[in-house]
This record gives sequence, C-alpha cells and structure tokens, in this order.
Amino acid sequence: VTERASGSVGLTTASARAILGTLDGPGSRAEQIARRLGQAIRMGLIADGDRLPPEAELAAQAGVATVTLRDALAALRREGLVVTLRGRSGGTFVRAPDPSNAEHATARLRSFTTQALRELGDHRFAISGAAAALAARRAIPEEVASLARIVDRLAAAASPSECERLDAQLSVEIAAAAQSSRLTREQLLLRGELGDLVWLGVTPEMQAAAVDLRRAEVDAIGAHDDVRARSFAERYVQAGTRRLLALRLEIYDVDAAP
Amino acid sequence: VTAALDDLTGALDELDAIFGYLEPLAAQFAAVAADPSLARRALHPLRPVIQDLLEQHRGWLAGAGVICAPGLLRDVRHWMDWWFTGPDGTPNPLRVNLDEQSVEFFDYTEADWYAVPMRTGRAFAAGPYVDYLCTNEYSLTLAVPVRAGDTLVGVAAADILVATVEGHVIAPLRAVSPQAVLCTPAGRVVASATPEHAPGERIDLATAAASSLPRTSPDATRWLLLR
Repeated sequence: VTERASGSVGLTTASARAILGTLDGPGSRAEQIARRLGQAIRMGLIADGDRLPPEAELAAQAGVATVTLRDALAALRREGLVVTLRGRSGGTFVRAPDPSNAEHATARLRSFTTQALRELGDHRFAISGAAAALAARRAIPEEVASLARIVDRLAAAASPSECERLDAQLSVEIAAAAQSSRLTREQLLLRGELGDLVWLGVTPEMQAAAVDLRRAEVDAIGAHDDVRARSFAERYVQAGTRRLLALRLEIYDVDAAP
Repeated sequence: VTAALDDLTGALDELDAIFGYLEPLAAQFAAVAADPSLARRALHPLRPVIQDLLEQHRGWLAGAGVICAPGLLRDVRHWMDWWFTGPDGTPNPLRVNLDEQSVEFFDYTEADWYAVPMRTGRAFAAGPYVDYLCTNEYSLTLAVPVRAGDTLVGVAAADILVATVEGHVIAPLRAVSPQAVLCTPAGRVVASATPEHAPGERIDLATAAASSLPRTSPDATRWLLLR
C-alpha cells in the first residue's frame, strides 16, 4: 500500500475496478488501458497529483501483464497526463487538466451525439429506477440513515465536482442498499462514462431542485414505497438527460456558427 | 428436526470460530498499538499475520485486516491495513481514500463493522452487505474490538462471502423446514430454504415469528430462524 502523508492512496480498489474492469473496446490491451485511464484523469475521477499504484499492482488490478501496463503508461506520459519521478519519493503521478475547465467539459460532451446521450440516459434510467425500487423493499434503517446523510452533504456541496462525487456516491449506495452487487457495479461503470458532465454548469437553483428529487427518493426508500422511489429516481435521471441534451445542442449551435 | 437444528448451529459455530481466528491478529495489533507514537510503518509486521490468516482459512475468508481508531497513528488520522484474496488466489492490498480532506474520503467510522465493536466493546457480525469498496461481493464482516491496556485502539476483522455461508447452512436449513429462513436481527435474509425469500431480501420481523438459535459463545452471530 503506497503511503502518502495525507492518507490518500491514489487510485482506489473500487475506482480501478470501475475504470479498468471491462476492457472490451477497440485496440490493443495497452491502448484500451491508456484510453480508460486517460478518460478517468480528464474527468477528474483520478485527481491531479495522485500517485498511481506501483506498476505491478496496477497491472494486477487491470488484469494485464506488467509490460502491457508499462506501454499504456508510456502513452499517457506522451499525452502529458502522467509524469514519472525517480527516487525515494518517486512514482507515477497524475497531471490532470482542470476538470472544471469549460473547454475540456465541452470537448468531452462533443464526443457524444444526442442519440448516445439518450442511450446513456436509458441505461441510467433502468439501473437507477430498479435500484431505487429494490432498495425500498430491502433497505434497513441504518442504510436509509446513511443515504440521508449523503443527501444532506449534497445539499451543502459548494462545487460541481463535489456535487458530482456525492451524487455518484448516493447512486452507488442506493444500489448497495438494494443488496445488489451487479447494480452497484453498473452504477460505478456509468459514473466512469459520464463523470461530472451531469453537473456541468449547474446553478444553485438547479442543485436545490436536484437535491429535492433525491431527498424524495431516499424518503420513499425509507418508507418502503418502491413505486414512489422508482418514480423519483426515474424523474431525476430524465431531468439530467434533458439538461445534457440541451447542452449538447448548444455545442452544435456554436460549432455551426460562422 | 432436532438433528437438523444441531447441524445448523454446528455450521454457525464454524462461522463463529472466525472470531477466534482473529485473536492472534488482534493480539499482535494490541502489542504494536501499545507504542504511543505509532506510525503506519509499525503496522507492517501485521501483514504476514493477515496473509497467514487468509491462507489458513482460504475456504472461509475473502479478506482480513486491521482498522485503526482515528488518532491512533501519529502520521495519519485514519488508517486501515486490509488485504483480500484476488481472483488468482494471492493477497491484494485494499486501496481506499482515507484522506479526510478529500471528497472521496471513506469514513469507516460510520460503517457498522467498525462502529458497533468500538461502541459496545464486543465482537460483531456485520452484514450481509454489498462490499463495493473491496471485492464487490455480497459479504459479511466479522469484527472484534482490539484493546491496548484500557483503550480501544481499533478492530481486527475478516470478510466472508454470503455465498460461502450458504454452502454451509443451506442443507441443514432445508432439513429443518422447507419454510426455514435464516436472517439477521434487522430482518435481512442470509439464507433461505424457501423460494419465497432470497438472500438480501428483508423480512418484516414485526409480523414474522422468528426465534433465536442456541449459541454457546458470547462472541457469536445473533441470527434468527423463521420456520
């Protein structure tokens, strides 16, 4: 375990699984790992300055040979997304572009078509709705109290990236409260695809409206009301999808302007 | 039915024996923690103990480790040294964010496998729950409080997959009754002899006739039987 003064260990076991867990895209294994890690760094899922685990360990987490991982890191180094320092306090460190930088967010959103955003929204709709309904049937009071604490923190969150992290944590914990490791894994993977796009440019009023919906969902889970819990979860996902579609269409306008 | 009940409590005794397996680890942790200026490095000698534990009880344990009470170490406020058996059978270190300044901070003091033994001073079986931070499996965590002198310095704990428990209890449970269900005191189903219930589902204990099982050890899972 890499030990930093702060107590942070860089890429956590859960995020490594979410980021590296399903390598099924085009390209070599090394290219896929470089792409997934690069995506996670640009989205801010791995923070600037984080030290990545030692190569052998990261390779084991990704389920590839160390030499493959080394190739992937070399590609990221060329992109300037990681730097490797030698010596006693050395290691491979993340050099993230500021994820709240509007240009980066726009570039990421541009990589989605409206059809792809609708598909992603459908996937979230299915997973979040089912997780909320099952959590309402299965959650015990301690779990509901834990969900309510996250909603309180979301209400008090001061930045879009803090909102994103708490909102994602809430979705993951609702799937866990549904007692489903599969739905939990789906929520972690969805977060890896979407990152903080959902919270891009959210105003305090929009944050308050989102908090209201999520609180209503958690209240319904606590009341064992699966129909209402599902309905609030679905409404929340749909509102987010509409917002992303609106933002994406604005980018089309900007791109079409002379 | 009496013989089947004996088999069931026998299977649970095997599970409860894990509390005993944790004793050497707890004793070593306590010995290390007696040092008032303890740093993370001082916990390294516990790693072979943890790995031995995982190796010796490979059939039962999915992970094991120690969790420090906040403020125990001088170099970081929160810390845990946790290992889990990877798909290849070798121990992997768990990485969680324990930096309380970070928004990704994992506050284990809210997890009942830490909070309950620290509050009560007694062994505790937490779960079943989805262990999404570690193995992403449906798991139990058996935890014992660790004392150095009069002070609780943290917990020593081990993870058991609910699938493993099912392998041991389902046959006696079916023999007890085709309606038998084993659940936690919160009503969460651990194993069920009937398709009417499944692991992870919740039973409303206000309307169900659940009885406690005879347990011999004070450190024992306090699960309930419905039949």
